[in-house]
Amino acid sequence: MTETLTCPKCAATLNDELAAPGAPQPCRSCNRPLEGLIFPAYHRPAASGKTAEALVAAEDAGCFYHPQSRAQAPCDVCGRFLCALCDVELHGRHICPSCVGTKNPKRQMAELDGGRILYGGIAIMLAIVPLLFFWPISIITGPIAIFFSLYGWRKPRSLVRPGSARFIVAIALGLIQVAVWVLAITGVFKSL
Amino acid sequence: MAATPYKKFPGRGRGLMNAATLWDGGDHLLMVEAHLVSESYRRFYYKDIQAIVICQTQTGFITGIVTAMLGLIMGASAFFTPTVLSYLLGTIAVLFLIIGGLILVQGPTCRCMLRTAVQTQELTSLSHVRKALKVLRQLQPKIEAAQEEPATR
Repeated sequence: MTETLTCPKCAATLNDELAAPGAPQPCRSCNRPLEGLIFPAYHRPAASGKTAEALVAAEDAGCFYHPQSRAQAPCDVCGRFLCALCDVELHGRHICPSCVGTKNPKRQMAELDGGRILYGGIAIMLAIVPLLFFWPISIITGPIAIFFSLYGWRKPRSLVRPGSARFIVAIALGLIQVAVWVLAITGVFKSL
Repeated sequence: MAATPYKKFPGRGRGLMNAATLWDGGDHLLMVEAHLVSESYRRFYYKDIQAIVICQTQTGFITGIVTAMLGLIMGASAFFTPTVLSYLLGTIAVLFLIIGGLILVQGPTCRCMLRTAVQTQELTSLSHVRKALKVLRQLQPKIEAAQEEPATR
């Protein structure tokens, strides 16, 4: 355990006691009603880190990053041999620290994603915002909205809302804007 | 495009340009902070969650009362102003009273903190006690199953 449980409001120590959910008790320091749950993980001692095993025989394979340490598994992404220290276990897969850091830009491991760009959101903003504030720039932003929709269609989408609705709406609005501009410009040329 | 494996928990924390939500990822709790054109993710594995603490605050009560008071003041001043302006003030007063009422009806606000061995994270999507308790009731069996023991108090 690295630190004790504290009150979210005044940071006073709670002495590992919390009132049951639905029956709050005042904090001894700030008097704010507190409730919640303490789970078994709170009482468990912190797990000690792994240590790499040294090479004992010449025929033992060494770790790619620590040649003096015995390899225990290959990286499931790049195939490099890994010692216990370098082996990052993720949902049954063995991954080296380098792949965790560098391969994930390709979004091969969704569980490591710290964030995503929402191309659908960009496209829909480009399709709608100019119409609300300064419509003449829709001559530029309409086609750009279509471009972002098509560009982002195959890119990784939101982890929680991966639908296509935003892309479809943005493409439809972009096409309508382009069509209106084409009709307006051809109309002007015809009248000349 | 494959369907998402995540299921949403109640609650949504709103900022000016962002919103925070909580999702059940099977073996972890996913906190999503959505900005205008991007999302950022934080994962809390159920086996690592040590405690969830809910602390009631008076933010909602004070905001609701102040908003309703502003509505009442505007409503009162509407009686002493020329006709056109009184309609405008009256409309704004009604809006303030409705917003103030809605804030008060939502119940007491809170700060909800999730604690693991290496961090204490505020769950900004759980800003009302009622929602926080609802989510806690849904989370409890999942965390207990992951840690293979019931929670203590």
